[in-house]
Formats: sequence, structure tokens, C-alpha cells
Amino acid sequence: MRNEGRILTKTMLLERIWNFNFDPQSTVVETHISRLRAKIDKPFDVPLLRNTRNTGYTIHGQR
Amino acid sequence: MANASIARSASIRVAAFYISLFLLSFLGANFVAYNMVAAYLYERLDSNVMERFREISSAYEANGVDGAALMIRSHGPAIRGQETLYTLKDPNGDFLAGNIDISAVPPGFSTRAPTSHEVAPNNYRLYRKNLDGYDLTVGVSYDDTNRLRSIALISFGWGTAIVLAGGLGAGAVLAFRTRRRITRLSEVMQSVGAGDLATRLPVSLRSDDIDVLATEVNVALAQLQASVAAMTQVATDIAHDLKTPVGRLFLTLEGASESKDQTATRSLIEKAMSEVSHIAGTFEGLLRISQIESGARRSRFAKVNLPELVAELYDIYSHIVDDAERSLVLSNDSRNTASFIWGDADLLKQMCVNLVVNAMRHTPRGARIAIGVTTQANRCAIVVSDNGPGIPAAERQQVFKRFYRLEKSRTTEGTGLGLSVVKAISDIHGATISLKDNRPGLIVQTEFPRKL
Repeated sequence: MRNEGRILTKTMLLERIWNFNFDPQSTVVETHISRLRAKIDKPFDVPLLRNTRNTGYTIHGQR
Repeated sequence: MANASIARSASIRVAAFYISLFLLSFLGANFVAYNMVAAYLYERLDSNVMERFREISSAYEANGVDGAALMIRSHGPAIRGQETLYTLKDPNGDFLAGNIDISAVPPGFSTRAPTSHEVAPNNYRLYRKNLDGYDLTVGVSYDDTNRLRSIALISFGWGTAIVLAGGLGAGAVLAFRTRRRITRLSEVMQSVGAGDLATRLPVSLRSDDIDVLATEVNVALAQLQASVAAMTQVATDIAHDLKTPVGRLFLTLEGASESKDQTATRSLIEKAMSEVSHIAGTFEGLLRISQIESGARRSRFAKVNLPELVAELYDIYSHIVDDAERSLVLSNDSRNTASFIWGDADLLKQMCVNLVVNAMRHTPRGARIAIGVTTQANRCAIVVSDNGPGIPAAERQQVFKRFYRLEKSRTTEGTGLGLSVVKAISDIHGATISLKDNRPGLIVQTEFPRKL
């Protein structure tokens, strides 16, 4: 929530959440994002978590 | 080297130094010995003179002045040899007997120089003493003594000359021989410098210090040759491993540029992008390995609690492995125990991730992967095991090589660098990594020295 509205790249997420300073060559971010999405967005019509193609992810409330 | 002056040769310098040192001490010893010999010879001459004098004086004591004169005359033949002089005078100073009339010499021992008109000029050692008024002088020539003295001098001189010649000759031979050996060594080193790493320095059976050095250089050359060969191999492997994806990339982009359909173009470009990210991944892996192998990260080493690190990874990866339709278990869960090693937490995490991802990629669906830490008195190990197909014993050492893949078609994802990174990380931690058969499957055990 600290970075509401900002796009966070995969590398940034890896570093900030899991302290990974290397490319894990696997779907760490994708898997966890999809699990998070299943928990916070599934019951609602408008998603909070958005995927910006080839760049990263944003989370923001409805406008 | 071939043009180097022989005077600059280390062995000739050492030889010259030792020869001069030896010569100096030899000359000193000879000087002392010669003086001792000379002193002995003079002493002997004096006692000779005394002996002759006593001969005459005992004849005088036994038979009076006539007896003494008879004794002097009986020495006649010896007198002509000019070796012994006798003069006997009566109390009035008149010549009584002898082969020469010597006057005006001091009593006791004295030395007489030759007079100019003598046939064989010679020095004499004289002894003069009064016998009840009769005046007796006896002399013995220095001739014999001087001859012995000069023989001693000449023999010492010859000794010195022989030592000098022998020393210089042997020194020169040694210097030339050493120089020949060093020239041979430097020729070999020049050909090594020119790129021929297969040549080796000649080592003789003597195993002297040069041979010891040559042996060391040969060992270093063998290592250098091996690492150059490895580097050449790596360069070839890189070229080979990049050629295929770059070729594929080119074909994909060509297809995209010729395609009329926009969605088809888009999907081809996406395929190209994933190809590029794969190539970038390969480069990143290579750079990562050389960064780890350089040992620079050792300065960041700290105490790491291995069970905690492994449990943390389990938490992150269990869902990912689940999504991939395999299962991950934390064996001997020791989340709350502490077992420290000295290391870089980032690298250790990467090591576990690579091992888990590797197990995921090379096992069939439904496989069971286990990660855990085993602790012993002074060692502790990360153990990752699976129940997949495993690695044949013959290939277990090969898999740590860069770009080595069991499956030659290279269709599964991955760069072929994952286990090389694991090996590099294990190496800088001073750990030993071993691959074992899990019957079925593979056990990868990385054993670290424990930090208490």
C-alpha cells in the first residue's frame, strides 16, 4: 500500500519482498501475484491489482 | 640470455668469490706454515753448529789441545765441501788448526757474510767460545737450510697455483654447465611465452635446486594449460550455446517482418522477446559465475543461520512448486534451531533456489521434492532430494560444467548454468557438494564447515 498507484517491476518486488538480489529463473512473482489476486480481487468486479504488460504490477483503488 | 656476458653469470661470480676467499685463507695458512718451517730450520742449524762445537770441545777435554786439533783435521773431507768451518787459536792468538782463519767474531752465535773473493759465496752460522784460553770457532753453512727453505716456499707456491687453477677450472666448467641448463630452460620458457603451453622444462635426475624450480614451473604450466583449455572450452561453449538461440531469434524476427497478420506479428515478436530474455539470462548466469568465482563476495560474508534460511525459501517456493504440480516438503524441519555457517545469505538463497528449480524442471508431474538441513558436530549440510529420474553415476561430475545438459536436444527451459552457479557458490564457501542416488531420484548434498 505504500506504493499505491506506482508500477513495481518484478525485480523490485523480488528485492523488497523476498530479499532476492538475483534472477530466480522461475515464476516466483507470477505465482505469488496470482495467489494474492485470488485472495483480494476474485470476489470483486474491479481489480485492485493490475498487470502492466512487460513492465510490472500496480495496485490502486477505484477512480 | 645467449648474449649475456659469462662474467655476469651467477655461478661464475659465486665461483670467483669462493676461489678468492679460499686463496686468501690458503695463502694465510701457507704463510704461517712457511714461517714455522723456516724457524724450525734455523733452530736446527743452531743445534747443528752446537753439536759440531761439542764434538771438538769434548775431544779437547779428553785429550787436550792436540786431541781437538786431531778431531778438526779428521773432519777434513767434510771441510773441503765448504760446509763446515773450524778455527782453533792458542791463547796468543796464533792459528793452530782449522780450514779457515776467522777472527773478530763476537763470542756465542753469530752470522758471517761471504767475503767478496770467496769461490762459492755462502753465509755461515758461527759459534765461538773460549776453552781455557784456546779460542774455538765453529761454523756451518746456511746453504742446506736455505735450500730446504726455498723448497718449502716453492712447494707452497705450487700448491697455491694448483688450487687456483683447479678452482678456476671447476668454477668455469660449473658456470658453463649451469649457463647451458639455464639457456635451455629459457628457450623452453620462450616457447611457452609464444603460446606453446604443452612443453615442459627438462628435469634431470640430480633433483638439485634448479630441478626443484623446474618441477614447480612444470606443475604451474600444467595448471595453466588446463585452465587455458577450460577457458577455450568455455568460449566455444558460449559461442555454441548462443548461436542456436540467436539463429532462432533471427528466424522469428524474419517471420514477424514478413507476416501480414497483426496478431501473428505480435505473437512472433513476443516469442523473439522471450528468446532475447533467454540470451540475456545466459549472459547474466555467466557473469554471475565469474563474479562468484572471483571471490570478491567473500568480503560480505557473515554468520548465516542455515535452517532459518532454508525454511524461508520453503515458504516462498512451496506454492510455486505446487502450481507446477509437484510437491515441496521441508524435511527435518528445524525452523527454531540454530546452525550457523560463515557465508553470503544472498548466494546461499540462490543456491537453494537453483537446486529446487532444477529438481522441478527435471522431474515428472507429481514428483516429490524435499529440502532440509542436516547438522553434525562441525559440519552442516543443505540437502535437496527428489524422486525423479536422477542422474546416471557417470554423468554426475559433468553436470557442474557450464552448459552441460543431460538431455542433448536442449528443449527444456534453462541455460545449462544453474548447477555451475551452485558449484561456484559451494566452492567459495569451502563446501563440498555431492550427488547421490535417491533410488529413485537424486540427492544433492552441500556440506559446509559449521561456524560455532
